[in-house]
This record gives sequence, structure tokens and C-alpha cells, in this order.
Amino acid sequence: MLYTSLYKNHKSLDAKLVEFNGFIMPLNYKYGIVSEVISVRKDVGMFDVSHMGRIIIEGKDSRKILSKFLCISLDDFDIGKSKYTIFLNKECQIIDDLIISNMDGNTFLLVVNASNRSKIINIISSNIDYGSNVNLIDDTSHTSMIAVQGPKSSEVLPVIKTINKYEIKKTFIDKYEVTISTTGYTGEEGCEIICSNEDASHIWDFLYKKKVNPCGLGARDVLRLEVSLPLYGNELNLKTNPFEVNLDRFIDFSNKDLLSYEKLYSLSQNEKQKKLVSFKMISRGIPRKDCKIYNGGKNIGFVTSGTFSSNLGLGIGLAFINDGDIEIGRKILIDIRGKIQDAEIAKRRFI
Amino acid sequence: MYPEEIKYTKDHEWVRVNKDVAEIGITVFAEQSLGDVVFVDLPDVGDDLVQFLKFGEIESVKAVSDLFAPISGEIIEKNINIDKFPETVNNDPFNKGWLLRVKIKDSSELEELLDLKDYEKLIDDK
Repeated sequence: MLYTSLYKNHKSLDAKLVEFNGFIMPLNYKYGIVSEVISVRKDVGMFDVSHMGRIIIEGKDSRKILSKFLCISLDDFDIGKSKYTIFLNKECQIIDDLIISNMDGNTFLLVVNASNRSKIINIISSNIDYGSNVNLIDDTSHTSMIAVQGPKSSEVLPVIKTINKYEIKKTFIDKYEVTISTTGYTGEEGCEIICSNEDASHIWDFLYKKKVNPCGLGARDVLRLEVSLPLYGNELNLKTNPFEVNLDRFIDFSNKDLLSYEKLYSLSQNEKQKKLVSFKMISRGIPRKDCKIYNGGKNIGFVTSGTFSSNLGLGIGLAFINDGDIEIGRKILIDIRGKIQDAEIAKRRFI
Repeated sequence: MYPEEIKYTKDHEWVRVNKDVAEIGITVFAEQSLGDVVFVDLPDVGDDLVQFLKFGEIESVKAVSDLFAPISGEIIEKNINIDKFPETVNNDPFNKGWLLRVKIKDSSELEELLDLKDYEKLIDDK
């Protein structure tokens, strides 16, 4: 079992701890998921996201190797910028979704899902050409990462105001040297802070003293679903292509070095087997992953993620629909543990 | 934290007897394991509960859990407050957070339940 550098902080805050991808992580703290979700929407919250993979690719051939797998054009990707992108293997399967940051033109930081870190490292390492100038560093265990999210983020961290959205820079918090990117997974203003393991606990305490509310993985899941963000393992997996999960806008076909370019292009032209939609419950039930969806007696899809949004006071989720009709407002039926409940396809993002 | 005058099940429900009426709820251990309760699906007044059989579901943001009847009987009252304020189950599980009141069918069933000492032993082992 792996522990983040903030484990003692979580313990002292009475966190309920769970295992997540090999790490012991907080599910929630003493006031519970509902109050944590509200704190991020109305105030400011912080999450230990040190379990996420941090991989550095450096050297003058780093763009070349990354372009083989990432659906973006690294040629017009400026220093100091961060971008959400998809990592495809040469079979055009989604290996992960991640945030890439351009640190200095030849050094790139990938922040990846904990569950996919070793797969990504293996794929990149085994594709480095002999004699090329690329160095891969798995920085995950050497650093820690804290996400600060919420409308009052910049009140506690004024430096955020000096950084545009989706940018990254080295700066200081209190007296500690950090790398801050204005990214997140909640739909709110905020940032993600990468720091040394030694400083992590001090930075966490510094933020806690500024009344930033500690939030766990439970709140993180509700928050991302309220803004319809996909999660690898639920919406994204090896059997789903980017066009089925509405990631079209993140695909830049000007990157011709992508190993799966032709397959990806033909997928973009083909009819989709399934489409990801947001939905909300009309009945009282709370949808959960894998619940089947019906139109009359016909099975037309399944729930990929579901939860109860306390901000909305109803069940919400993401689902695959496979009969082609994904019009907003379409009424669907969801089988929640044997009870058929009413729901409807909704506009993406609830908040 | 745990009242002494009430009986418990190994599934973490409790029952408080007042003459021939039993009040039913879930324990602190249950509500804390679930986390914030957001929805409780209960049967209606007039329906019958059968001891140790499932009678409903309780949901938190993260999980859903079956509710098992600590005792058999006809439901005479439902805590309607829970529908609007499910968090009451977390805030006051042994009092305001009660779920159902049933008319006891066979009071000898109470002997099948755990007293506080046995229940505390059960949760200490967890």
C-alpha cells in the first residue's frame, strides 16, 4: 500500500480513508461529502491528488515521441501552457486522458490517472528510438500534488489571478517553491499545486489555516459529474473511441505523427456505435454505474457514472446511448436495482 | 453514544419497543459507514415487515445499502421528515432519525436480537 506525504494530515483531520489504485486516500473528512461539495461550489476546497501520476519527458526529441501518442499539435503549444489531451496507442485505443504542460520547450509534464501511469511509461519507453534525445522521469513519488478549487481560490492564493486559465508556472506559496497550473476537475476556478514531498504538509496546513476546506475523493466524483467530466475506467476505456465520448474538440488532426492517425480519422468519419450523454433523474432514485437504460422494453444503453447531486437535489450521471437518439429532453428509463425509474437526457454540465 | 434500552441487529438496525409498537432505525455505526444519507426508500404504511428480510434501501452519495427488518409487523407510521431531510439519519440516528413504526406481530422475535453489550462486541470486532 502507498501513502501520500499528506497521510498524517488526513489522519489528524479524521478522514475516512479508502484504497484507491494502490494508495490510501481520503474518501471524505468529518463533515461529509455533501458539505465538501458545497464548499467547492460556494467557497474553496482542497484535495490531495498526489496519487496522480506525474511524468516528465525531456530532451530535444521529446515533442517527437509525444506526438506519436497525443491528439494535439505540439508545434503550436507555447511554453507555460497546459492542455487536456488524450493518449492513444497505435491501435487507436484510449490509454488515458491527461493534462500536458510545456515547461521549457523541450520538457513536458504529463499529469495522468494513477491507474494508467505504468502503462503510459511502458508505451513511451518502448517507443524511444535508439540514439534519440529523450529522457523519461517518473516524478510521482518524488513530488506531491494538491488541488485548490472553488470561487474563492484566488482569495487564498492571489497568485492565481496572475496566471491565465490552463497555464503553468513556478512560484512560491508562503516560503515554499511550487509549480502551479490553473487546471482542475471540478468546473470551478482554481489550481493544482506540485511541490516537494517535504513541503506538502506545510502547504496543506498553510491552506487549512486560510480556511480552505479539505475534500476527499467522494466530493471530487460528485463535482466532476455535476460538470459532466469523464473519468477513465468509467466513461473512457480501451473499447471506447474519443468521438463516442464527445472529445472531438480535443483532437487536432494537424498532428500527422500520431501513430493511430489513419484509424482515428476513419473513426471520425464512421457512424458511432454509442454516444455519451448527460442525464438527470425525474424519479427519486440515484443512478449507479452499470444500471441498464431502456426505451419501452428495449435496452438502449447503460449508466457509466451516477451520483446524487446535493446542489441540484437529484440524481445525475453519464451514460452511453446506443440507438442514436441523444436529443436533450429525451425520456429514458433506468433500471436501478430492479426498479424502473424515469430520467431524461440533459444538457452537458449541470452547474 | 449507543442507547441501552434498545435492541440491535447484526445488520446495524435498531428497534425500540413501546408497548406493542416498535420504532425502527439504523445505528451510528451504519450511518457513519454510509456517510451522508441522501435518500431512504421505505415501504408504505399498511405494508408488512418480516423479521430479517429486506424492507428498503438507504443511499448515501457513494453507496447504497439494504435495510433489514429487525422485527415482523405492520407499518403504522413512516417518518415523513426523512424524505425531505434525509441527513436527519446522520444527525440523530437513534431519535429524530427513526424510519418506521410497526405494530409488533410476535414479541418473542425480540429474543433473536442483540442487546447493547453484544452489539458493541460486534462492532468492536470490525
